[in-house]
Amino acid sequence: MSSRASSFWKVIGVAGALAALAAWPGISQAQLGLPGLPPLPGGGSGTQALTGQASAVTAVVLGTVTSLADSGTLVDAADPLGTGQPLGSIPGLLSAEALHAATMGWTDQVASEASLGNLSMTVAGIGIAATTVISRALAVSGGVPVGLSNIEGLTIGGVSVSPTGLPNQAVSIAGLNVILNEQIQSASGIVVNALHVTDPVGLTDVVIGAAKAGI
Amino acid sequence: MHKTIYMLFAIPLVLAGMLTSGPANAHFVPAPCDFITGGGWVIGDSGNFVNFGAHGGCKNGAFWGHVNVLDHAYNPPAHLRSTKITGYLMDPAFPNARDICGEGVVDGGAGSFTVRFRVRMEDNGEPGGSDRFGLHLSNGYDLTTRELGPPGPTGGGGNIQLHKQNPSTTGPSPAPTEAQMCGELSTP
Repeated sequence: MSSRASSFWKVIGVAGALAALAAWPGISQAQLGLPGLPPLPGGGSGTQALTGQASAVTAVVLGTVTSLADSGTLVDAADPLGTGQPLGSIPGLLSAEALHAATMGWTDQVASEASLGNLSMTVAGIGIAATTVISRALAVSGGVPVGLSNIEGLTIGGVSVSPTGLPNQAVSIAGLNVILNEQIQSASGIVVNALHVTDPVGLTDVVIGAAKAGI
Repeated sequence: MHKTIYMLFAIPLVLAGMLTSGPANAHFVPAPCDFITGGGWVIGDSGNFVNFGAHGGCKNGAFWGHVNVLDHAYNPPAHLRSTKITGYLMDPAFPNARDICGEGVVDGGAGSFTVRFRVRMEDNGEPGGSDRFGLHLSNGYDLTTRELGPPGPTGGGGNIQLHKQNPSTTGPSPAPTEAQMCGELSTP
């Protein structure tokens, strides 16, 4: 009995040491593109590739891309990225408060998050407002990537809209195409766009709260 | 043998705790360090909206993060923008909470001035209504830590997430004291 117990604890000790070594960083880099940008590069390098980015606002108006509170692209588990600003605006399109975006990596997962408050936006003459918009993306090695959005106090054209919480909830009001909790899955990660608005003629494409994570 | 192996694991853990935690009940830098992120809003003491977006943690032997808070109690609204993160602490009494300390600029309201700040963010699970946020500034502003609450006029909204520890993102060594990180500012 004593010998078996001793062996058991040896196994536990060796396993613990191996786990500690495995948790030490040895990360390569990759990129995960936003919708409309170059797609995520494929794997095949034999190394664990981390991909992460978050942005409070990304807008394309008449071909001009503007981002507010963009974390930049994660390249290393030892180098989390983040940014924020108390106020943000794109003249003629939107204003928001307390914008923030962050992306963080570990050896076995990537988490990204973007949020803003007091959103006021006008697309094609239609007003859109929300008290809080948050998006999160989490990719864990060997697991299915997970996305989450929180949209509170949403009104479109003066009409209150209740998010279901389900991915890719489509809403069409006054000709606007709106997707709530948009989730784009790929083999290596996920992109979560909390609120994605496009106008009927495609001149304006706005993503509020974009978070992406891949590994 | 059982006891020997146990001691091999237990002694370093105890020593690490002693080296990083300082006096009992003091706030200290979590080791290994972790991250906290979140955004949302709470109701201020005068019924006003206070919006926030923040993240913090450790990075490359230093502290890391951004804090932005906007309080509609003032006209125009006063907003805090962090310019430097000087501390990231955990409170043993509230293991799901982290404090972010730093320096920043306040604009709006009574003009523009620099302050030290201490933010508390607490992750109490999903969907976020039980999460808590507070802010203490060196000019006397004190938004006591409060629940985000259910969305609506009497609550707040948003979500705070405490992320797991990351051994590859270390804080300063040796870890500074609470006073070095946050000055005289207490937890909000």
